[in-house]
Amino acid sequence: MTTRHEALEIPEILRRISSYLPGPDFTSCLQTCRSFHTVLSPLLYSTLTLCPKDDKRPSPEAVLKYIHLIGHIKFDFFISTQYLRLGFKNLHSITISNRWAPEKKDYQFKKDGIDSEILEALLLVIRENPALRKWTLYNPSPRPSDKVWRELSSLKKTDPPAGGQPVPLLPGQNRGIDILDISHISVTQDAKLWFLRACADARELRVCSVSFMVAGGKPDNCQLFLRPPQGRKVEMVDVKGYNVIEQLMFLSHFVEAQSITWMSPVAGQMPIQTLPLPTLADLKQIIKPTTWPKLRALNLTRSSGQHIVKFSDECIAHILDCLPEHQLEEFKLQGSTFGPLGAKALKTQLPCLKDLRLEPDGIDGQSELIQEVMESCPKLKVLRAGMFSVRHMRQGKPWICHGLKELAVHVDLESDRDGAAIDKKVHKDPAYWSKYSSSRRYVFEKIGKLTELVELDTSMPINNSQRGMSYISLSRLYRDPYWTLDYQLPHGLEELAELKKLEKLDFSNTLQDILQTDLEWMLENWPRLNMVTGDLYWKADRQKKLAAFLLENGIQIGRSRGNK
Amino acid sequence: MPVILVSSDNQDFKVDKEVAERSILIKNMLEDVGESDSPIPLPNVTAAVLTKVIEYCEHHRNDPVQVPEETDDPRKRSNDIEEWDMKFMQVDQEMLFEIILAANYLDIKPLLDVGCKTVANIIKGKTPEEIRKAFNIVNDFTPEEEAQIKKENEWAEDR
Repeated sequence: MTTRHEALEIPEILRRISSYLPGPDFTSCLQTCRSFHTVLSPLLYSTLTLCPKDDKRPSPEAVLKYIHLIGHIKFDFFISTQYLRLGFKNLHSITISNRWAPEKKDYQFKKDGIDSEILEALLLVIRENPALRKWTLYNPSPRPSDKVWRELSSLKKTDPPAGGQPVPLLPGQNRGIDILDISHISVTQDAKLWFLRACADARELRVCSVSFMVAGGKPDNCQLFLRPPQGRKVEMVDVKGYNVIEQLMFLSHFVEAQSITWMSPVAGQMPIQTLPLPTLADLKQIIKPTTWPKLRALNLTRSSGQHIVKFSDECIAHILDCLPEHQLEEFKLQGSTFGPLGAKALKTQLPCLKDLRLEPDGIDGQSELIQEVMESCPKLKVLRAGMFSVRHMRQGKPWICHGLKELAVHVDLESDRDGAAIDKKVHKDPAYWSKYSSSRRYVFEKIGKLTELVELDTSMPINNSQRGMSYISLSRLYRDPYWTLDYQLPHGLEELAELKKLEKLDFSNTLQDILQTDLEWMLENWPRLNMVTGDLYWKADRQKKLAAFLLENGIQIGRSRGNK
Repeated sequence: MPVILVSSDNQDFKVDKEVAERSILIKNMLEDVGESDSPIPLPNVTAAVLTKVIEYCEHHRNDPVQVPEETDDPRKRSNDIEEWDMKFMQVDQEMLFEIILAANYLDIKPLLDVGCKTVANIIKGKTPEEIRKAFNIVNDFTPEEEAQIKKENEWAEDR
């Protein structure tokens, strides 16, 4: 070869090669010749991160030279008037994030310029980048002003008409930002109205841990919309200083919404200013059958911490009743009660359900519904719920959810033994196994046919829902009548041999007596297994040995969700 | 049912349909023409290269279809090449690039990836001058330009 091979002339191939190169090799490649430089520079500059370390970010001169290539600019623990004023014209996305991560442990936030200058420069960037679609903020400093929020909303060119009547959005009209992703910020009283309008104009909205600063007394009403909210995907989590009933009212205006996630503020942090809590009567006022005609996903799952709003069974049933039938694909509810009324309302949604996650409720309170879901949801991918009794399995029809990937239910093996008392030491007695092995085999055979399963979680849920019944505390007090999967796992393995895609197994909070041979069996039969969670054995020294064996074989030990 | 592929130098290759369909280009062609036993001409691939490509497809005939990974990090690893693939790629540089070109043309993404990873592994640890030498690249920068480009991109070195 006397000249370079023609394969290297094809930009697509050169880019693909360079995607496997670490930083220094990538820059070496960039420096070899003009055509490489032309092809590879956009990879370096299309998404540009500016960090507080001078030697880890390009100089303003270099940014200026490549400014036409930059589509996404990220300020990471750094903000600077000088960079903002370079004259960006092709930005589609701006990120200002002060989000800590382990690899940034030696970062210290650096601010070049005074706040008012930085905000002015930001405004200029928003004005001069008509293609700007996405705006991501995480704990930014300085705090965006009302002018910034106003610039981001669809009304930036005109002042709002008096009276506040919604004006229909004309095609081609300036729409504001398409994607807003805002976390960990506070919004001043002045900025609140414009902030909410910018939120209402976004097609995708994520608002997480936002505090509205309240100027003495009650937070005001911010229901004034000038255009119908545009959000298709709307997420509102832990918003403080904003009455929760009004938060729900705000959400109820999103008629285009296909996906809604709402979590109430976390208790115990100031300022709350979110009371009073919504009652069923409030919800009936706010959410009506016409509220969310396009909704496919509803997520009312708490993250961590104690969220102050817990919906009652009646409230959840009302919300579900207001959704169009046979449309819901995703329903996640944790931290609120899911009881018999909710279960009844959910039954009109089964044909499309793909992802169902429910707060466990009472002893086998959801069992009948779980069986119904398993036998009527052909598209089901994820099911996480409470206790599943063998009794309901036996009474029901065959399961049709053959694509199920994640199953987390606590199988109650003993529920069809008619309450006969079991001696605590009985698991050592072979007679016990013959007596209950048919029930175990039945359950494990059924689960063993779900060959798409990636995660199987038979742990006993820790339940602190409103009904107050914790399986854990209950099982301590009355372990016998609720002996469930205890000691059963190793004896049911053969039936689970076809779960070839299984990656995660969780049996937290059940008592097991697993031998090394059982673990060897798992390694052999479940080639993709990478995590096991739960107590392998009740004695610490043997548990340790078994855990070490798993680790040696590349299997991680998950953190048990038990209360140890 | 076997499929007949014709190389640019007019050699016929009879391969199983399943093997030929590792190439998305051929798969789409077969779907378009439907049931037909007419040979498929591949004017961009020589017999020598096509032999190698078929060898690869035969070996990987039962692989599951790759799902494109969506990761935030555009940097990918190049040290995860399977042993068989590694041996398969021990060819001279001319052939290596020919295989990459053929994989690109025939749309066989896993083969394209293995080829590109192999080239990336050749590049790793080399200075710009060594890279030029390895691939016969002519330096068309002026010394000033080269110095400037080096300087303005220094920040990216420990990305």
